[in-house]
Amino acid sequence: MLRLLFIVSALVVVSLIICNTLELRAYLAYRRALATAQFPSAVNGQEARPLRAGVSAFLKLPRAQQAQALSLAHFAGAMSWARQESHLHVVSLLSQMLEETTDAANRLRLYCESLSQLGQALKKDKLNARLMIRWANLRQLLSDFECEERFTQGNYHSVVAEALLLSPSDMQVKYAAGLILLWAGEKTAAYQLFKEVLSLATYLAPPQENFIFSKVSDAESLRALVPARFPQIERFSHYLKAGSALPVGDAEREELNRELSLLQIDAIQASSVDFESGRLPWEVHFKHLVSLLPVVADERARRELDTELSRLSAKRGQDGLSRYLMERSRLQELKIIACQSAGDTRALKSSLANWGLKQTIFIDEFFCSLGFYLGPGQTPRLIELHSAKERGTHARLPLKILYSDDNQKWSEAPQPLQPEQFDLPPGTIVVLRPPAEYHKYWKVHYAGAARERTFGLELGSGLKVYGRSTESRWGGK
Amino acid sequence: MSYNMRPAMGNLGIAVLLNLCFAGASAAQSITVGFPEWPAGMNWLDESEIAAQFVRRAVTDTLVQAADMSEKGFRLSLADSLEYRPALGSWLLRLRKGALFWNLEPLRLEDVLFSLERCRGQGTLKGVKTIRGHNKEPIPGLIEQWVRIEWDGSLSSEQSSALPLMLADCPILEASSAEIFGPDLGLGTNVVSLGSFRVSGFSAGREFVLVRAGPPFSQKEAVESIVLRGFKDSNQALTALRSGTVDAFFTNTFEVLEKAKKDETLQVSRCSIYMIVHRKGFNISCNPRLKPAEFRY
Repeated sequence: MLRLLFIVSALVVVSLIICNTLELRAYLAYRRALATAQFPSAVNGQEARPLRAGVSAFLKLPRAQQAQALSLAHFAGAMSWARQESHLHVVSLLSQMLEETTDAANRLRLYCESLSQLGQALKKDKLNARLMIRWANLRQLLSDFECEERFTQGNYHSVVAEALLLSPSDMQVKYAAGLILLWAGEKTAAYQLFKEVLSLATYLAPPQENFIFSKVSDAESLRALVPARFPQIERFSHYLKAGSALPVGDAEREELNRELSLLQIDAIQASSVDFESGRLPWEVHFKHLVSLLPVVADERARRELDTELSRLSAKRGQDGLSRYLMERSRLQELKIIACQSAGDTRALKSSLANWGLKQTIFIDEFFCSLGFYLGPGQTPRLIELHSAKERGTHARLPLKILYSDDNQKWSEAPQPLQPEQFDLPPGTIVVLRPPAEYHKYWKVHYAGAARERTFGLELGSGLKVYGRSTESRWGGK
Repeated sequence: MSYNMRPAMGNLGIAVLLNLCFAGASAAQSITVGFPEWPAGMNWLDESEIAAQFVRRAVTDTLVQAADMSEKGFRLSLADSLEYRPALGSWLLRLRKGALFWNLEPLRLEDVLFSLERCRGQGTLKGVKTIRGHNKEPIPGLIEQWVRIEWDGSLSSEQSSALPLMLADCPILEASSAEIFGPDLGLGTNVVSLGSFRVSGFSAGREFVLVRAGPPFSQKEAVESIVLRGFKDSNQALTALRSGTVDAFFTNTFEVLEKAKKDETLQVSRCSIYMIVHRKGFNISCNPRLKPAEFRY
């Protein structure tokens, strides 16, 4: 028995030695091949500078020697015993060489060699979906070109399909498969994969996410790519708001906005269902909704959002905020153009100017006036000032409302103002109720010489007016 | 045929550098220019009175500017490339990168399309059939904004070659604010544009205050603010000029011009079809068109 055990152990040790020797042989052959090609210190593929120097030296060799370096019989033979990592080292080396090569024939040869090395690696790790995708990517790149090397023939389509079957939950495989299909002109299948990536990936690098978002060019591609769920819809809305990728035509942009609005509404409703069924805590649902507020697509989505926020606030006993949001949900956000007048000590006589500035200002500072112009047919009911940060329990602001029809002679709103204040993350909302009548020019005037600077707001997005509109160009009835 | 010239206004960085260079050369000036018989509710964007033209040229910029007669007749401003394709009957313009409105919003294709359509609606761009815009990405990450203007096929190439000078009369405005201002666009302070000056205040029928919107581009642009003042008649304006209340005034009243010519401290200059009476030593710039930014001592 002992003898048998000894023989088995000896066999194991010998086979290990043989394997290691073969691996070592492959490794040494690999080194030798690289040395032949004058690649000093490039063996481990880690040191960038010697590697680059080696690549340059390699490229200076006569073509015959280059070919020899890459297809030495003993090298190729040895590599067949090499580990998968060795093949990948060679692939990374070859890709470095590709960067430095401009000659088309040389590039083709390097691509073929890379493909072959990937094929060999795949042979040793048959269930590696990422390797499959890499192979498929190169195979697609080479199109119909037939390489002479081993493991370079095959259909990249079926390899992509197999990789997806093997690793259905690997989002990087899905993303890469999407790219390959997109390059193959299979837009529908590619978009389907991208949508799955956006829906399911726990982490997606910003360039990858932006690449997917950049494919949205119209309403159809929006529906195909972006899932109606949080936080994806919020991130895409921000991307769209900030980006230059918008379609140029007004009609296309309107259609895209309409579709985005529908997606936002769907996302709000889906989040609400999750909350009601107990799958989503109140805080997360609330955060979802609030995150959408600055990028809400249109009035329909904004009203849906206000209604849901109102309902949610009531559940936490925030009755004042809930009532206010419900009131706001029944009104329309009016189109205004805003401006600021610092040190407006003659507020009843001075005209508003410098329209459309978007800087941050403090309303509670030395007779500051915030102004806006209101297009015809719009009657304001609520004026909102949004502070960038929560304001806490500071004293009420001594604010006045003034209005004018010629931007020169101003009148003060007759009723004394009682500004309401609500905390809605990330800041505080101060609400003023102007007289419900149409005037072209409006001022919210801080009637004080103090420089409190407790209420900072961004002029572009921090001043909002809600009311009724009768003109169709403002989206009214 | 293509024109790739240095734009009339450089980017902000160049302007700041030039500003630093010229800071010691000339002190900031504030000037007052008089306009007799100034109508009360003037829309300076649409009307043709000299006061309206003055505000328009100070406050707005254009894709192309009329140049001295010694040049080709125009030079590029908010466009930095202009190509004429006679075979296709179209002009192609590329928008200058980095151009900003006073409110620091970048100039976008939709602003230019809105402004050109507005001018076409007003009859400034006669013979233009279609105006289209598109983005190009010659290298990844670099987006160029192009405008294609196509001509009515019945027009000759000579007629269509007049487009640059027509564009010199078409102010570029910010589309989003212009749409909100609607019919009130151009009244008082109601505009957002990219000119050298912006309207900082007004009093209908009496006064307009223009202040420099950015750093001056050249030494000629020494003026920091311009006050436009309305007068009942030219005699009142002449009195104001003599008393030092204004630095120049526009008039075509023969009697007043004769009086001014006899005054050794004053000078009479021609600006297009208008005459300007001003102090000696006060420079006006009117070649070939009114340039309020270059009025100075």
